[in-house]
Amino acid sequence: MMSDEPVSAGATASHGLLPLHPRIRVVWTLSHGLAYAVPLCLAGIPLSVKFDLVSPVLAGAVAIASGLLLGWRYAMRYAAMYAALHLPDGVLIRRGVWWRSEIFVPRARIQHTEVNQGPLDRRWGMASISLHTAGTRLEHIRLPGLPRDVAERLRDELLDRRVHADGA
Amino acid sequence: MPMAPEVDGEERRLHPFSWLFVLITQLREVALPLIILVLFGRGDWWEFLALVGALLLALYSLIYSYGFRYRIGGDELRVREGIFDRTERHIPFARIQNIARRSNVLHRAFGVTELRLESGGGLKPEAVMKVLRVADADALVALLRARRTATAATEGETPPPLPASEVLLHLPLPELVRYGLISNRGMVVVAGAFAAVWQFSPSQPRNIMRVPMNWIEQAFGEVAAQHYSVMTMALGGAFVLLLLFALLRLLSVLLAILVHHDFKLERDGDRLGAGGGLLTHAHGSARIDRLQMLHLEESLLHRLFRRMSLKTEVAGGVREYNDQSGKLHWLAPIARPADIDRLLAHILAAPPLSALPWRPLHARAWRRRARWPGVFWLMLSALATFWFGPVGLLGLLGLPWTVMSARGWAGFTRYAMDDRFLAYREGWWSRRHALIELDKLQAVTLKQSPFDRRSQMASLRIDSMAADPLGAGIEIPYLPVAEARALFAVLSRRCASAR
Repeated sequence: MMSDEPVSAGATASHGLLPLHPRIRVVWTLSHGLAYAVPLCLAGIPLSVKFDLVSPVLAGAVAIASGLLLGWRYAMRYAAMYAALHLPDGVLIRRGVWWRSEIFVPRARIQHTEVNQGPLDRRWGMASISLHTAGTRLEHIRLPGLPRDVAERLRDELLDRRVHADGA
Repeated sequence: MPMAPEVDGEERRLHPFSWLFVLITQLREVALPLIILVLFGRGDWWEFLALVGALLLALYSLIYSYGFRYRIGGDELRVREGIFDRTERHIPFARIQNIARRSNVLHRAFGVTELRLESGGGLKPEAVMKVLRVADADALVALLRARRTATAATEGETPPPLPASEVLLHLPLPELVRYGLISNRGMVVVAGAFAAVWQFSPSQPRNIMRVPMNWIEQAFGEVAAQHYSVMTMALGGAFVLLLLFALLRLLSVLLAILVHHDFKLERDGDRLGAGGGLLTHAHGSARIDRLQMLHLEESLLHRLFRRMSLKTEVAGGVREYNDQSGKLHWLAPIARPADIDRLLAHILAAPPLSALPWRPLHARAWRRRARWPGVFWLMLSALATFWFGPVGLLGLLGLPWTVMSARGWAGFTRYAMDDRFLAYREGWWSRRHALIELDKLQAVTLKQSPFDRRSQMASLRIDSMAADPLGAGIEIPYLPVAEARALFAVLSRRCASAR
């Protein structure tokens, strides 16, 4: 089809590195921040009460703030490590900060694709695309944080228009 | 009420007694609540309710069975279900991938069988014919095969010849006895029964345990009651354990005969069928090209008997249909290694297992394997020493064992890839092999944990159809990172270009 060169955001979805929507970092920061903040609150607030150091409200605020900070750091690392490549014969995803994985999903094995948008995604023109294969362990691979037009083009391009083949 | 058959094809119905079998299936699903109602419900009211429920189910079964019609068209099977709310399904012959048959004692008494036709995927079988006369089922299966071959021929594919079916493996009684001794299914059954009894009344197990105690008391009572020496206790305990062990194994053998009596693996053109059973006869068949990953198991007992077992995963298996019976699953519950090689060669034209180009893991794989168990033993002995004094140092004996088992594991664990297959084997005393055709890979994953990165290793995992998501598939750990990357690239290219 088209060249293998990486393309910038908003350009035609061709083969190459898929752009990340800038706002996905916000989503990742919030979700990871929450994951850090909850245990920090659970530990911090009772401790502050028990030892009477600071007021529980302040302890909670500090816990949430540091949780968000940690989440932000993690999200930046995650985004820096993350790469999704649209190759002529499939999709290659690299992800993970501590536990890293590289997943290759051949185009010939993609059964159907799905573009999802949450309320925030719609406001920001962002979408995620889900690739479904006939496998069982990796039957569903989600590519988050794509600009909406890229996600839609990818959806159309990944669908195999050839005779149905499920790889059995 | 029967409808007038439509123009093309002859409309067929199920066996007149089908409602009975539908009813039994329905009853089985609600049997437990019903029994509880009848047993524990107080007064006639509950029994009345149960009766009404059973009657309603019977009515439903009657209506369902009389409403079920099927018709064989030119290139499809048409199934109609329901009387009030009617659905008609058109199933192209080419889409019917797996055929499962099942008949229990009752089926056999009526000379009927249950037929399940499955297509490529989905949650439910395409058609469940409950029940057909055996002759009708045979005719339908034969017809499906003939029609499919015919359709394939018109589509320009080469029609496979239809030789008479050929028996690839047959299990005589002595093999079943061995299988029973190895499988130890009796243990599972007893544990399950124990758990069930426990649920209903927690004091029951203690009462059950008292039974063998009473026997012992009767047998050795006089002496044992007077002289409770350590010797008597130990001898008695050993005797009871031995007895239990023997009984469990006996039960396992009986179960093996029950499930796999007269097991046969047959090849019928491009299809593979297998099944057996003493009371309930289950038979599953699938096209050979639908077979996915093959699993070979070789436990310590298997190896003592010089046997292996061979299982397959079949694409288009119906998920969430947990009734495995009548599905092609076992290719050989038990067989000699030579027979396994013969089967692999016959079914997949695969080389013998030992002839695959096996490659070892990273040279330091055993250290990684031993690390966490080693930490566990160290912690355990530290804690034990802290609490119980120097005796706790005995926990350190776990360390040599850990090292030994890790080295043994790393010594056997290998992977192999030739131009058609990817294979993986692992284990020490108990071993397993997994084998899959490269064309059947669905996705490839390369993974690196922080520990992997520190020791320059990576692991590689593949995904295939119909694999048990929680079961053991192919995940090759502790590979040298460069080798893992190369393998990842090759496998990716290979599964991208497959068909």
